[in-house]
Amino acid sequence: MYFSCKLYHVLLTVAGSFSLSYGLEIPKEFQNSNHSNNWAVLVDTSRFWFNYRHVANVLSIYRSVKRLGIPDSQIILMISDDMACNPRNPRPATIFNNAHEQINVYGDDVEVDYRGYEVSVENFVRLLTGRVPPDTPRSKRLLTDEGSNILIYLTGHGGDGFLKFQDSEEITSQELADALEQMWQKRRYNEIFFLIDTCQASSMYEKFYSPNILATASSLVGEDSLSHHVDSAIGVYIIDRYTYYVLEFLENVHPNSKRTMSEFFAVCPKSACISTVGVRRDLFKRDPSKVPITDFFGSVRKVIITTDPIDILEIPKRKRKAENKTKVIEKREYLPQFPMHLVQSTV
Amino acid sequence: MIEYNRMLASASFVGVLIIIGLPLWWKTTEVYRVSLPYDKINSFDSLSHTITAELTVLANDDTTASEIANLIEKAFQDSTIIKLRIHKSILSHSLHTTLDSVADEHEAVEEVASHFDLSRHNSFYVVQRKPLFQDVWLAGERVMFFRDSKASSTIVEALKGIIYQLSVVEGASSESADIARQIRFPPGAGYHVVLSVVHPRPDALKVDLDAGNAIEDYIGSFVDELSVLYNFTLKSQWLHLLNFDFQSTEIKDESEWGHHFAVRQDRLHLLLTKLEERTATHVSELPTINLALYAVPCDKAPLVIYDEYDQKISSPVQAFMSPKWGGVVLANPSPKECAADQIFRPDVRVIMGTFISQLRKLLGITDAEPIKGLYLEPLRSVKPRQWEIDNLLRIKTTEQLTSAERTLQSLAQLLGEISNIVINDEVGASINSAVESIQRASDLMREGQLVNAYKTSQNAFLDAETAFMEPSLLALLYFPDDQKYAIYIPLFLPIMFPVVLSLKNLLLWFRGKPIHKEKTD
Amino acid sequence: MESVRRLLLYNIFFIVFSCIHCDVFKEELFIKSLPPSHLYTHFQFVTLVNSDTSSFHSHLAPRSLVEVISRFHVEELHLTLTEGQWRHNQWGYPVLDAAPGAELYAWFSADVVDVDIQWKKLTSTLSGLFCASLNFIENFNTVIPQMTLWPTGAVKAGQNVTSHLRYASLPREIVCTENLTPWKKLLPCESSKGFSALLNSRMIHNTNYHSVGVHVRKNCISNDCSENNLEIKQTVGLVYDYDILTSSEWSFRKLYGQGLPGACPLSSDSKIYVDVTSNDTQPFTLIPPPHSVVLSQRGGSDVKLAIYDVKPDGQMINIGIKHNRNSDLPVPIPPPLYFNRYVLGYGKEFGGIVTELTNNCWTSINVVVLENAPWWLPIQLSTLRINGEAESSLIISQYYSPGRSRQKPYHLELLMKLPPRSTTTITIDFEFVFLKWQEYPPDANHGFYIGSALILANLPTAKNYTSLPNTGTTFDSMLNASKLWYPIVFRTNGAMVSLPTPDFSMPYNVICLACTVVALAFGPLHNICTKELVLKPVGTPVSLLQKVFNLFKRKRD
Repeated sequence: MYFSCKLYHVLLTVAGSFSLSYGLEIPKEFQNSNHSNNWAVLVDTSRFWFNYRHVANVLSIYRSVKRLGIPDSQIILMISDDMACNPRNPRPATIFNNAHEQINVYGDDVEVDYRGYEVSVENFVRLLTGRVPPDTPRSKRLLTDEGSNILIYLTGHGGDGFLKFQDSEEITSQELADALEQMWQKRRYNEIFFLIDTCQASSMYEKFYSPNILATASSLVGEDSLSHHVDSAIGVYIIDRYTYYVLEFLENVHPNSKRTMSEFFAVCPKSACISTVGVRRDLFKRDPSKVPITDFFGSVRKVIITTDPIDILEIPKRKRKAENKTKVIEKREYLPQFPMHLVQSTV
Repeated sequence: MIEYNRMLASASFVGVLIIIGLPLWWKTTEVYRVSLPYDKINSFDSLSHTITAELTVLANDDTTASEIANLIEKAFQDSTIIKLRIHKSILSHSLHTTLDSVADEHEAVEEVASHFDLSRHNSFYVVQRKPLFQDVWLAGERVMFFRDSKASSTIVEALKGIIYQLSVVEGASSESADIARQIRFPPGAGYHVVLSVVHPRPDALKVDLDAGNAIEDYIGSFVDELSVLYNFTLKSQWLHLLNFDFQSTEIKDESEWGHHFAVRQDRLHLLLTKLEERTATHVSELPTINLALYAVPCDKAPLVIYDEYDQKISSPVQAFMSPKWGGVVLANPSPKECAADQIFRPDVRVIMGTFISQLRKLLGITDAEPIKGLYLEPLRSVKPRQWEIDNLLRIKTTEQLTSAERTLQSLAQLLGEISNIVINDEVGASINSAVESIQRASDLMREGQLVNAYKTSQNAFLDAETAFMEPSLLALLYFPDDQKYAIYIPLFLPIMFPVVLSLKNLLLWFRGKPIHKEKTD
Repeated sequence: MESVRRLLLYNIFFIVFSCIHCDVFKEELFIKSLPPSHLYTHFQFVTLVNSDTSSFHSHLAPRSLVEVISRFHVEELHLTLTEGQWRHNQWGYPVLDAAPGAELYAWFSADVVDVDIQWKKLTSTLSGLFCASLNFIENFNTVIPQMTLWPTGAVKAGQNVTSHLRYASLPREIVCTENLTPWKKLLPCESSKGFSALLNSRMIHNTNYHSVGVHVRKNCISNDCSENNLEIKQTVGLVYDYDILTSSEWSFRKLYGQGLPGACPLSSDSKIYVDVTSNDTQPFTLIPPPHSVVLSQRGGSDVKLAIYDVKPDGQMINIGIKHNRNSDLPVPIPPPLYFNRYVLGYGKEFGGIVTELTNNCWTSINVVVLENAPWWLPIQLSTLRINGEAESSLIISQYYSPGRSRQKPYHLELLMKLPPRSTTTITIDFEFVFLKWQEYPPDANHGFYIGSALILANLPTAKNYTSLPNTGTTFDSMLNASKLWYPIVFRTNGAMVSLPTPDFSMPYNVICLACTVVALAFGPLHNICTKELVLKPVGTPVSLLQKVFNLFKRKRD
């Protein structure tokens, strides 16, 4: 048994070296994803000023994802509380990832889809399963299809098997797993990358049972995720360790980058993060070391060059619906801006 | 006597709590669930998706007609998607002579049209006409001319690949999306089409274009032909000062400009991201097809797209499209228009021709590979070919039907698994109507009534989507069973404990045994 | 010379093209210093759309907004998002007053049958368009003002406007860059050229008051109003504090972080108006000097305006002032009408809202006061007191619509005549209501906001009045526009109350307690009914269990 294994490895190396020398490549279908668009769902679940760092976390990922090409129309950003324009913020309309004001992650063109009290467990599950109220505008819906790769990022306070929303309710890992399964049943995703930065974060992905999900968490069950540093001008912790190093890593990624997901998993070793980064890859078909980062963080959009325009011979003319120009002239007038008629009638 | 009273009291406790109370509690905490047709939903797998189409073979003599008809029948035998009802007959003498004598094929088509109804959906005519240059001739009407029985293999290939597009229709119902399904827009109730004219430098270049009338005339005439399928809303807007950095490199050449600017193909998708910031298509209720016209400013003109092998693309226009999004045309001004403050008048005909070509693909009209021996008349007008519309109807019907079935199956599975979700009347009505529509659509498809089948399948699809996306079907909103027990058990268990224990004494007393349970202090 | 020729040709071409498409875009900026140490800047971007063109095809107007207006059959729409409080007694009157938080009111056209459904759809769509939580506007926080709000645009003759009006305000909404971003995208020049390039979110949110607004209405073109067009006005109002700017010599660089990079090439008119009336008493110099200075006499007040006409030539302009001498601190002169509002009471049972209106004028002023109390704060009409009197002669007309729990808010409107040189106090009591468990917001202990009251005043003078007449669209319609009366709608400050909130960690405790009590009560009851106490003679044999129990009992002798 051991001998046959060894032989197998020897043969493989020989074959590999042959392929390298002859310039053969590992078949593209093996590594390429067949997704056609990218979406991101970024959620910050904590309220109150002392949870400033969670807003900084989610905006760091938002900034990276936008920089790498995902358009705003395909990002759903949920922020539970306002930190940027909070009266306690000494630098209005900014959220920095660093006490030295290195990067303003809030930016100049942020668009928040769900904010304040709208960020609740019910709205989050409705968003994922698509069962939103009928009047919901399209920018607040997750309009994914079977070719969408979705990045889901959650941050906030968590525990063993739950994530706290707004300090008043929780979502359990079973509910999250059921929501993702319903997405799978309705063919609403191709692959999901689930990223979570809370305490005991890996408990949230333990219950997943739908295929094509790759998950990573900032800490294992029983461990706490720690924050990075305090900004003395603001007086609160300004960012979490895991997301700080993730942002640092993503700042060096450009849209044509060849970095892989396994490099992403190694972005925060125990020495930097103090907690252990957890990974779940058994539901994911491909090998993470061959999956480029841009499969989830960047945006692919297939572009097909048009080579066959139609040579139109005669110019068409469509019948206009309102051909009769007898418009009824409606008389309009400016009304008085104060109800003087009521004053005079009773005087 | 006292014992009798005691037993009566005990019995009354048992009666109230167990006999009356327990069933009452069970009934009042019952979840309201409308009964669903699970068996019908489970039977969808065996439902046929076959569409029957009418095909008429008209030949000069019986042998040719029979040979062709038999060959076609054999070729389509294995197909589960399309079943052909082939009628063969011999051309009437007058028609025969007319067809042999008319000058060109278009007149021949008119002659055939005067004898047969070519405007009926889901029908097709294969007619013999001796004086033909090629084996088989095909244009925009529902008629195909062939020369003689030697062309039979070409006819079969044309029917399979172009007229009926078997592979595409099969792909519409497959599990994973094929290329055509990846490109075309998903099924829906209707679409909005927005023409955005991008004007990066309004101070440097004036653009004269009536976008509203252009889209109404050209695209409007195109979508009018597809009115049997969808309702389209046409809109237009101008996006000023949207400057995109193509990172183009200047290359000297021998054109009238003296140079051109090369844009790499892999840079183009970033233009789509920039466009999406300003097109504001999320305000509409229905999916939007974007058509963007980029007026290249003079200092960066002309812009030429280079593919990934660093070669100029071989196309008369600089245009590209993106699946499920829309298309972009880069309009370059001429050197004369750029000199001395002239006005840039884009060639609307060429631009609209490009947009129509892109729109066709995005809606599902795919162009097939050319077949040897077949002459396909190139398209010269905005109107699509008649048999393309038929094909689109077939593809969409199959797609909608399959999608509705899958939706209902997963919904039934979900509702079966989670037993505490309330199924209210609206959901039940939607599901029932969707099931009915699916079955009726399948029947209509089999009979060959394509337009009715399409409409029914669209209703089925929309009803199934409504049922699945019903906001009240959220497991969060309802008590799961274990939580229900967790609340009631601490309340009622301590009560039931002594009551149940006293049952034993009650039974003994009924049988007449004396009771001497002592408890000393 | 070349650039002048280009500019001329450009202007000619633009006039030609502007008629072909018939959309006109104008941008204006109004700057006024507010005593003692504040500066008010008001941006206005106006797009005039010809009503003939279909709502599906747009040239300069934002297509998304036009589509929303036409889809929901809206005649007139006003949306503002505001942070901060305008201090009327110190600063005078703004061009457009706005309630803190989000405020939305709209008139629907007469052919709409069910206005409430359209209102809900409109608010949901606007919440997606402006990234604000406007979808929280429901029937229980919408009122229909009867006397306070009147359409500023031209309405069809003979239409009952009041029944198709809806007004709602969300005092808890915040305004930040995420609202400014989609707002800027509605402008034809977006934010790269023109006055909108000055709106840097880091600078404009560092202010005492900032308000972003969108106002859509129909305007008359001709005198007999047979033709009209659609006017889309986007406004930004900012109040800067000299203490934050660290100097009272303001300039564009200090206010907005950069100079003005020329006007928008698509605008037909780009003007900057600076109020230099105070130049007489606290002289200062404008750098660069203005193109013209005009004197406007309106309603008894003289206002001197310095006008800059900005060209789209890409030249950077940095307007600023320099004080000529160390000026004294200007003393604010109170405007003709100002007001104050606060909450009375202590404890968690009753309270009261007080609105104080001070009429500084030598003549009486007619006002309409709208009190809009949410359904969880029932105000009692019987406790309404004006200056302490229950039946006051100051009230000309009164409208009261009591609210219904979870369905309608409480709505009180008073048409009053304020006597000259007096302060009128309107007091009304309310009681607190217990909310259901799910209705408390996650931070219930923060408090609950009561929206501001609306005051429609018919002012006899135009002192401190900077609003435009409703027949005009740009600031030049304000010059010498004297009228008999100057109506204006004010918003008072909001208030906050603390509702009785339960302890949200109690449910588990309650369940345990209730179950224990029930068990303890039921057990003995059952025992008494079904068991009988029987005496046993001493000396009877005891079981093993009894022996064990006896060990734990105290031996009695």
